[in-house]
Amino acid sequence: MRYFLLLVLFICTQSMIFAQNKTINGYVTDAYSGESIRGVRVSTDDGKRSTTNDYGYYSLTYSEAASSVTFSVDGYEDETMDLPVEQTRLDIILFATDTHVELQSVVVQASMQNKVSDVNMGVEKLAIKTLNQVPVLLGERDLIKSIQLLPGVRSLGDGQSGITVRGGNIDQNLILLDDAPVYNAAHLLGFFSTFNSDAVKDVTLYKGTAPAQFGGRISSVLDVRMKDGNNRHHSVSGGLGLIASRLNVEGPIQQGKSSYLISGRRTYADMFLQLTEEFKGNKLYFYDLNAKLNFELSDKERLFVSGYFGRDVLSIGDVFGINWGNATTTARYNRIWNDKLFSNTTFVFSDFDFRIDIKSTAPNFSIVSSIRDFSLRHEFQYYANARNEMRMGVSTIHHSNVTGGIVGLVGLEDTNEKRYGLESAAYFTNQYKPSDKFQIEYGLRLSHFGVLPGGNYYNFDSAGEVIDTIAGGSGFVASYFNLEPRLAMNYILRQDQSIKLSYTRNTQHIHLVSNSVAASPSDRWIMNTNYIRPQIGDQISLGYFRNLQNMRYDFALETYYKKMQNQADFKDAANEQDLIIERQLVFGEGRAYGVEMLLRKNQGKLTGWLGYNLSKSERRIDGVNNDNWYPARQDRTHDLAIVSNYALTPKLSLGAVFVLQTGNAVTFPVARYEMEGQEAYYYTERNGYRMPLYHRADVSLTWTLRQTERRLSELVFGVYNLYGRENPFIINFGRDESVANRTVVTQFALFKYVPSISWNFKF
Amino acid sequence: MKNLTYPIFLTLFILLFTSCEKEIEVDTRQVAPKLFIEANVVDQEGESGVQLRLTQPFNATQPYTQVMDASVEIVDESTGSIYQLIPDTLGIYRHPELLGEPGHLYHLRVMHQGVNYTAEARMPYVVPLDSLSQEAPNPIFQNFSDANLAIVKPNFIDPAEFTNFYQLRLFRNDSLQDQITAFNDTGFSGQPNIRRLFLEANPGDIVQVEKLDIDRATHDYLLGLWLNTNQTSATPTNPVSNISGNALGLFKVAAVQRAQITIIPM
Repeated sequence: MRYFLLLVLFICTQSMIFAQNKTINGYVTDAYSGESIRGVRVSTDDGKRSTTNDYGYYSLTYSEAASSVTFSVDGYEDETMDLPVEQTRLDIILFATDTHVELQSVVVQASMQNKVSDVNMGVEKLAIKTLNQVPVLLGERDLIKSIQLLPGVRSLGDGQSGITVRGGNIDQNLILLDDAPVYNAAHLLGFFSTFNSDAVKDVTLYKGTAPAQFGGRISSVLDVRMKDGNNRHHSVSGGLGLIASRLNVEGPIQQGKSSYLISGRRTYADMFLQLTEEFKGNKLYFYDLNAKLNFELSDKERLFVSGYFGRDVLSIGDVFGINWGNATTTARYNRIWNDKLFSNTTFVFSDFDFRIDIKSTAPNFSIVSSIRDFSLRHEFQYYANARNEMRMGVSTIHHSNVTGGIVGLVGLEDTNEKRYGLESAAYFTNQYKPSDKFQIEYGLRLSHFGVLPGGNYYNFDSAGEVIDTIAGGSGFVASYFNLEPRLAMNYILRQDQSIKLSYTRNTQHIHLVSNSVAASPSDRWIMNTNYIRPQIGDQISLGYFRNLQNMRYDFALETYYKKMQNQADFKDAANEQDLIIERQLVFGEGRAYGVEMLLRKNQGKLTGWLGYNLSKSERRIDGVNNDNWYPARQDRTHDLAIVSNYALTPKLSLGAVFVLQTGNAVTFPVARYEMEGQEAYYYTERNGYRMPLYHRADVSLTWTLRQTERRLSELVFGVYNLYGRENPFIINFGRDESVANRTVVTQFALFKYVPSISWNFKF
Repeated sequence: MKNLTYPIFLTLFILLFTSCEKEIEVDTRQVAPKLFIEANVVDQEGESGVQLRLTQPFNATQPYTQVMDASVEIVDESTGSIYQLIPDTLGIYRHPELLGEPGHLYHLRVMHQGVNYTAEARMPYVVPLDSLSQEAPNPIFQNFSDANLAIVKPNFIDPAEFTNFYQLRLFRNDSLQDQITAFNDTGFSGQPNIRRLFLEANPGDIVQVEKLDIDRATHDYLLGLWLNTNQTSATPTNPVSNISGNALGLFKVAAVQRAQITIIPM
């Protein structure tokens, strides 16, 4: 701590040395839509540089020797101009290189210039552009599915919700939509993500070291930003697909000052199914609704209010129903205090709830679970001088969580396992550039989780029976403090090459208990209690980054080692439906390590990338697998993805994806026996086997019928799983009904050639 | 009943989206055959017995090997009686005088190839089974099945004083149906049973329900066995046995009652 204070002191003295320098600051926005652009590199000709923040704001201090400033970012024309003599405020508009830059196909387009020069590694930025077309299931463009093609990021398989990053569990990713956590980012049991690409501006994924303003998950941060809404022109865009349609309306409220955006999507397969006798009376659909308002209160103050509502409904007549959904609301207030100080205040509400209604075979009842957050964060960004950019803030989140409940059972009181928690943090981070070649970002996050009284907390005996219930007084039932240091360093070897090293510690207070072979919305969120302790993750990574052939190609090689504490898994023969779920869990340690490689071609008719990951992810928990290390379910030895796009003519482009990866680790039995007249299976180890090799190719063809700055009409044809590979979703052992004393092993695959056609428009 | 929701969910999921199902070869590791014990002490004349068999690898196609050379002993601690069981022609170890009594504590001792396997369990008191009744399923389920569906409900009143555990075994025209139903009195403690059985049965079929009063360990084992045989679990494992010595199996001490009903059109 003493060294830390010395370091702060050192920085302050540095500020004085540069006191005679000048500063410019302002917002960078898109010329057509007025949308702020984040991640724009701002550099002066004396070699000083900065980037715009999440709200498109920058502040750059330069020496008197400088005469011009350049703004550059992928997808836009560079803008170079003379530095102003008098004023310090300089708002910039940039022109898109591609006339229909706003149109929606999700493409991973991280600039290698950024990758070489940015201090953080393991960061992937995704812009919404039409430069490439990643083929997707049923033509529904999808952020999460596109992210899954990056090295180190995977889904658990076809039809599975959630992503796993660098061997972490699916609950270890902080998924934020305009700063609001999204607890279940999947629709229709994982076929589609909740992010409607029409409403999304950009996405940043932190696989390695996330800056100290992020916390609460130990694997990654997926930071999704909604569009602000076009404040210059009214526009309507959307798409008609096989299973869903989208409509997006945006425009100015007051020209150039304020705007609105409303974006919706709904599937309609069930409407057609209603026409068939068999399906009549059943429901199966999801919808999303995004809305955002933003106001420029003055040239120094901005206010953003955004919301997301999404729901999935599945039901069989009136006898059985499942529905789940997220609702989030974010209000943000930005203020520029002076040319070096920027602040943001955020209020967030987030709710996820899941419900199963059963009204026939058994007594009628419902199973519920939910998590609801209210949070507040206040943050300052201080652009101290040309060498230091600081960020400091405080945040607090109030969580209410129903880990599981049975309600509506006749003759019985509702059973609800309720918990409350208060998650708070204070953080400081500084990006320090001692020289043009060396950058360091260091930070510290102090986090606290207090288990609040009023919920159900228990002490258990060794058999898992409740000994007593903790009543809880006025203070916390349990309290967990953690210090989380972050460090990232970048050394630029030559202009086109750099090496980076980083270390980060994260803690996690909210955990997902997955009760099935397939991750599903019925998985339950639980929080720290007196019994469940926070997960702690330490990650160290090292990387080498290089541009080749004048940025035609770029190459990244990263290696990481991750150590995880307090990792939960089910004990042997756990009752996964137990309402008091924590007593079915056992806790231990985890480790994950690997090498990621990404080679990308950025220019020419053929663009795309090749990503490869060699990795291992293991757990060791007392009482599981004879106390030995065992592979995590998401452990993948090899993982390869090739994504390419070929422009056949200016109006026709062909996209293709190929993925090849080691199958998930699974538990298979080694022998059979018989109990109660049933065939039973003898297991000797956890996750000791592998699902078959997973591979799949998808293609798409985009035919642009009409395209101007304001209008677009395009047809997208696609085939998912082109050669019909039957990648198993589940493998089951069962008695052969026709041959005595024989066991059959059956695999179920979900998709085989899924063709699609969709029409996208804008006017 | 909670255990039913997930399979319904999964089945629905598979019904809606599965495009392909096929048999595959899986190469599992070879292990030495392991003893599994199915031991029952019940309050019905001639129905108590112990069966000892060995596990089979997946590539084997012969019946399970019966173990006939073990020493099997059951002790009724409440009376002090010791019963030495010997195998009958079917390979099931029996003793002509062994008859379970509700409330009595029983010990199982098996010795095989130098290894001792022991267990103890107390027979629960009898909760009288009054009758069976038939109910009509919601017509919507019929859309998902070509067979005729029926619902049968055993009628009994749960005593309020204790947590009671039950098992239901279902026979259709004398054939045991592939379902394991074990549950406790959550939701109807001190009240009439609310648990129903769902099955495929045609009018005229005779459906018999065996209701067993079981202890907690047996209840937990049966739930574990249900997960083990259905494999919907995230972490499939062996059910926790009440038998020591690292054996597979269960020492079930239960009070048994039976009732039957002829299915009528509904």
